[in-house]
Amino acid sequence: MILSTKEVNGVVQATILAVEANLTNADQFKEEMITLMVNGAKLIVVSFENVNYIDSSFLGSLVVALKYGLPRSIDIYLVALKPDVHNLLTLIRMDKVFRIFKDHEQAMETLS
Amino acid sequence: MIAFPDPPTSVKRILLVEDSVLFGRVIESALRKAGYECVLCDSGPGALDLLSVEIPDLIISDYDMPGMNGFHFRQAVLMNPKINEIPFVFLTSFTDNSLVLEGLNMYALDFINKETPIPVIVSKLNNIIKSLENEHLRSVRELKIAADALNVKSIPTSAPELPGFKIHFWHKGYRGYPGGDFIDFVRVDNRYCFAFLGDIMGKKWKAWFFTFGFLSYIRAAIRFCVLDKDFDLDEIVQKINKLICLDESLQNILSSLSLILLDSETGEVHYTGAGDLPLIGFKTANQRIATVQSSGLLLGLLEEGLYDKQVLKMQPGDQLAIFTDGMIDIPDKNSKKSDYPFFVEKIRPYLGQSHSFDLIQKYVLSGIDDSNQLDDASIIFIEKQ
Repeated sequence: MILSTKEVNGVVQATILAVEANLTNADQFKEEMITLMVNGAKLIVVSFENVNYIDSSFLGSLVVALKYGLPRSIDIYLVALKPDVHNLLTLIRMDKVFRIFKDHEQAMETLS
Repeated sequence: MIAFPDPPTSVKRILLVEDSVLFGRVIESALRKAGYECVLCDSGPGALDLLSVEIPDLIISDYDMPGMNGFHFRQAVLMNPKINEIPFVFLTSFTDNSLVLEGLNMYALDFINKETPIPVIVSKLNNIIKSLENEHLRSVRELKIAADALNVKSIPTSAPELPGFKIHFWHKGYRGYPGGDFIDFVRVDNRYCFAFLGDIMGKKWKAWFFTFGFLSYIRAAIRFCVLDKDFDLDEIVQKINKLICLDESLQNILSSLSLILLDSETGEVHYTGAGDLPLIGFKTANQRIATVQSSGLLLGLLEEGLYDKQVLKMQPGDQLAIFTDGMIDIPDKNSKKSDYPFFVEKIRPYLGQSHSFDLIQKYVLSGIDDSNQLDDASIIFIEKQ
């Protein structure tokens, strides 16, 4: 398992357990995300609180998950990005396709 | 000939599954002394948990352990396609012939007796690792020969010449593997030349394989637009993106792209980017650097890629650097990080000089090696003359 998950008010809160989000765990992340969606998640809030570094393979998996969710009206939010990870995502415009929040609480507030 | 250096003999990580703490510590310490990283685990289930997040280069397991014994552990490993190819060795005091045979039949590379003197155990493991490494090198070499025979190149051999501009480029594949970065130039005539740099997301062969699909689309889109005398880069990139989104074989494959068009008559550089890193521009008039950021999304992400276009007016002495994320990913303490400002600072002292790119090569790029490179690294460097 690379994600630890819990459901709060119908929202799946998923936390990436790895410190390095890279080639070795990218496929697993993708599979776990898609399984969550297949099992009925409508919104997955992914926390990067443990992640210091994200490589392009993992970014690819993140986008594959997004592309799986889009036609099914499933949203993916990203929270708790460390500054380096946040900067990279902004530099390559991922902030235009993912909603990014400070933490789970802030993400949940937008729903109420 | 595509120049792919051989991968390095990096530090190997060994997972040791052993319920006897004392024996485990002894072997762990001997392996560390021999230059290996060793992770000790006292049970099969614990090791399976560990294997779900970390992939070692070799697994050594005891046979006689409470709960899940070594054979059951081995079977669980074999059942999991993500870890079943990790080389596996039994290290146990049970040396009954039928047991040894049963162990070896489960695709274990060796069945080593615990009574063997420690230096001999380490030496046996050394030999196993070395021979696996040699086999790996042989396979990589054969693939390289095949790729070379097919004449598929994702990096050109030389930069084009265009009046008024000097174009340089540099590329280093991750650990010597051909990867997902690609560079190419399409010289239209004496006035115009396209240059582009991209990065297929992913590493090594998997990314490399898809570069040719992307390259073909990009080259074709550029050629068609040249035929139509349509040099609007945002539209070219939008067309490329559409083709990629429609191509089922490229589903779930993404790539960044920096596409530029050099106009030697006006000295202008036209630019459209797709999920690429901001370019670094140096202005000789004020000796300042500024980043140039486009709005476009990665190729293959969404059909509507939000591509924009920019025109940079370059004066003699002005410079422009276009590069992939392998340049900004660096080791950091025991981890890694992506640090764009770090790379800007690294090349900053050499910008605005008469042989800037030579200096950048000498003092920055030559320092990129297997110990600090985390991904394919590529750069195109343009000087207005």
